[in-house]
Amino acid sequence: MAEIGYFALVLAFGAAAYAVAASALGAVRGIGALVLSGRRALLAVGGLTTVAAGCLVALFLVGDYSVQYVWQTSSRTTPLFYLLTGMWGGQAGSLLFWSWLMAVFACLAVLRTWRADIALLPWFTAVSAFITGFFLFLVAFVSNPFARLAVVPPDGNGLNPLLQHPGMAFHPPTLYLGFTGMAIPFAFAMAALISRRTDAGWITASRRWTLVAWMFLGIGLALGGRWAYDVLGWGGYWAWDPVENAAFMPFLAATAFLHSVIIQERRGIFKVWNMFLIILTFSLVIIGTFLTRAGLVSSVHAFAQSDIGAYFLVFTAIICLGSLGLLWYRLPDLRTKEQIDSILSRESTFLANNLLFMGALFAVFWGTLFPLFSEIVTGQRVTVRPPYFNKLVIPIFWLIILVMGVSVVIGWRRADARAVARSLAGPAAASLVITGALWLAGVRHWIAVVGLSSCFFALLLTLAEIWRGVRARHSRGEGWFTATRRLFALGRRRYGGYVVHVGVILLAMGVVGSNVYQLEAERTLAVGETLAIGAYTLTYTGLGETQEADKASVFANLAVNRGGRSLGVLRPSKDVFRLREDQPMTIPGVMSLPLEDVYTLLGNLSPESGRATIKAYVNPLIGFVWLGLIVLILGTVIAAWPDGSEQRVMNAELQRLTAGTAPEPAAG
Amino acid sequence: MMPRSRTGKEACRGIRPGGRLAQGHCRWKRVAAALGVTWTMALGAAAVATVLLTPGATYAQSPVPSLQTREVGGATADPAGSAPVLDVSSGISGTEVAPEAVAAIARNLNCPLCQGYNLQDCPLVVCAQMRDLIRQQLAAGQSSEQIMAGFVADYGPVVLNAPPTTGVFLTAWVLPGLILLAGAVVVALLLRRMKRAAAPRAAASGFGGDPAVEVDPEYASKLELLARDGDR
Repeated sequence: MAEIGYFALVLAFGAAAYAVAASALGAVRGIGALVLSGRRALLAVGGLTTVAAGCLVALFLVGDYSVQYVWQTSSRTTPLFYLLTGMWGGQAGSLLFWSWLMAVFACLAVLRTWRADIALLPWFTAVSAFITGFFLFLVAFVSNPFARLAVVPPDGNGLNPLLQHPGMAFHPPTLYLGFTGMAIPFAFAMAALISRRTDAGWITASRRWTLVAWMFLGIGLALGGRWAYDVLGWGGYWAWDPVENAAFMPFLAATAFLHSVIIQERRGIFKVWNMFLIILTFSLVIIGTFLTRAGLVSSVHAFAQSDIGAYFLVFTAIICLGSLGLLWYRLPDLRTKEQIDSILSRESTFLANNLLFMGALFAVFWGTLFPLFSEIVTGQRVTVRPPYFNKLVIPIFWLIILVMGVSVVIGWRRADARAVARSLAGPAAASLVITGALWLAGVRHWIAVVGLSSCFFALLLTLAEIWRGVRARHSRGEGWFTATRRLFALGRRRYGGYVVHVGVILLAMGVVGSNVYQLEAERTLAVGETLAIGAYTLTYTGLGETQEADKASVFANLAVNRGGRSLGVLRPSKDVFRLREDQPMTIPGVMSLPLEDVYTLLGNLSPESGRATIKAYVNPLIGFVWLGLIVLILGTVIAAWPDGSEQRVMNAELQRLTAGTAPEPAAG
Repeated sequence: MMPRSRTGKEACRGIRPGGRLAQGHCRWKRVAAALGVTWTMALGAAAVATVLLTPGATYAQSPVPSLQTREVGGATADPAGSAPVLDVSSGISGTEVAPEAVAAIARNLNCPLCQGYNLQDCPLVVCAQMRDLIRQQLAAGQSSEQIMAGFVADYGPVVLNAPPTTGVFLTAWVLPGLILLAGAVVVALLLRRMKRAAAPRAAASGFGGDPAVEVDPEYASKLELLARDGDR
């Protein structure tokens, strides 16, 4: 099995190399047969990597511990679920997974859009096959997941306990989906530059890819946060860890890109800037991977370090310099008459968005690399941690929220200042009232007041804009439901985007609440003693333990009371995996109430006296973080939904507009 | 369909059928608008001030305990039971020191042993002892500046959770703000230039869109108009 997998990998690498050469040559010389052959080679890469990935999964399921990678990341007691996710439990498998995703995405992109963008696709094939080829080279010749051990061990080493969590099972693959997904618009952009078709064709072809990749990046980041919250045991979800930052930076760049391509589509301007943004996004993906793998920055993800950094350095250089060089070379083709009609227009809000996202990106970038910089310049290493990022980045995010809210009422081309002011007035007044009410309710910390009032302001503006659209349609005789459905169907990207905005605002509220009003208490308790935190009383009723096939855990029983009412029992625990006894896990006991979480950790304990140190947190509004994320996903799905009927609906709309007749009931 | 461009007053009257009601309606709306704009501007000014001023804050400043996110850590905790029971509350007797005061300092320091946790969240016994040391120093009347300076003297600046604000380290704080400001200036200049370039073209009302836009722009703008201005 391992041999088949390895053979498939080597073949896939060969096919990828051939695909690059054939497509490029075919495109340059105009030989259609070669182009088609390159396309088939890319499809073959997809098939072959699928075979290889399948082989690795099968090896995990069979439990073939003669394969080093399987031995490293699983054992006989590993549950089936983690056998299936074992593929990304270590480096070699992750790289294989990455190559497989990349190949499959490239194939899908080629299959879906072959006819529509025939001039772009030979070069798209070449660029995407080149990227896939690099990863295939790594798995085939540097970090081979199918390598055999000289001696066959009886049992595996077991998966890293840190990774045995549902959030962690899905966090790496969703991030990889986002990372590889970003390669598709990048490859389209490069194809557009090489083939000198620099209209918006490449953007149209890759738009959904960008959106979906962006969404997966977002989900991946959030799942990472959820994992940290559930496993790492420090009461929070985001720590500005260098590797978190490495994944966050492409997300910021991609967000800027998603917004600024809209200007190019609408107005045909900023072509160079969009090219630059997609190059930046994908380069950050590669640089981030390089930073993580090369271990240049110390981090919680230290287990991801390895010696393939050097290869990544070369690849990073090729991608960055190659694409930027190409952009420079093609600059004359991209010149447009960049004009706007008014400073007060949607166009300028997009510029403000881009400016702020680039500012946030730079702050994160600078903070992440500063320890390195400081060591080189002064010889002294410094630590750059949350206090730094919170001070620099959070104000920028706050501005982003404001711009996000205000921009929805500013129309394209030339907005009427009075109309804008009028649209702002209601939500501004309402959010002031809400803030006042919160003030009376005791929300008085200045960060919470400023943060929450801005969130309400932006939220109300966005909801009002959606409401305005629905009401407009309703007043033309459509029912409320039909009006909403049609509004979203016709302006899918726009209104999907607004839903995403609502999600981001909810998330921001959660971040404000859980940071400003987090409570923390710690005490060593004897059985029967209590720990009071906020409105809650935690009564320690003793220790318990469970034994499972692969792990043993000790937990404390904590009865939770609020205002004399019992809310249930929390069981924070220490889990020790048999195969990794040196690495005990502190698993929190968490109770999620509608407005806040009670989060408890089991610290040191003495078995003789039964005393245990309990650390407790109350995390207000943290549910909003996860809720906001779900709304964000929903919005992205709305925006990216494939719409075969779009054209039909539009035609019906246009007929109605031109004929001025009553609405047809059946459209859409 | 409504005509595209209207003056503010006309637009106002158009909002509700019945002129008189709309007039009165308009006045409070204008007041509210003024309020809204002022509020937004104040927020904006505060934002700029925050961006400009906070970088200057020193690490030694008594920190706001609120906005500090905790550390994700290397996740190597003591094996259960292997460490002695540590009752953190049994510091020195006598002067009472609020745990929040200790936490506020400990959160700005790193665990010198493990990469990742800050001193407040670190489960290691050594860190608990260091927290106790902070408590004792606080009880002895030292200021948080003195305590932090003591830690820096012992372990070097790496023990701080954020770079100091002196010398080369200042670039860590200042550069992002400067870049953002420079970006803002560039965008402002760009907008002005683009605006000027558009001026001679204003008379010609051709759509400036890209021909390759998926949906005919004319059509899209009509639809947008339908959605936006439907019931005005």
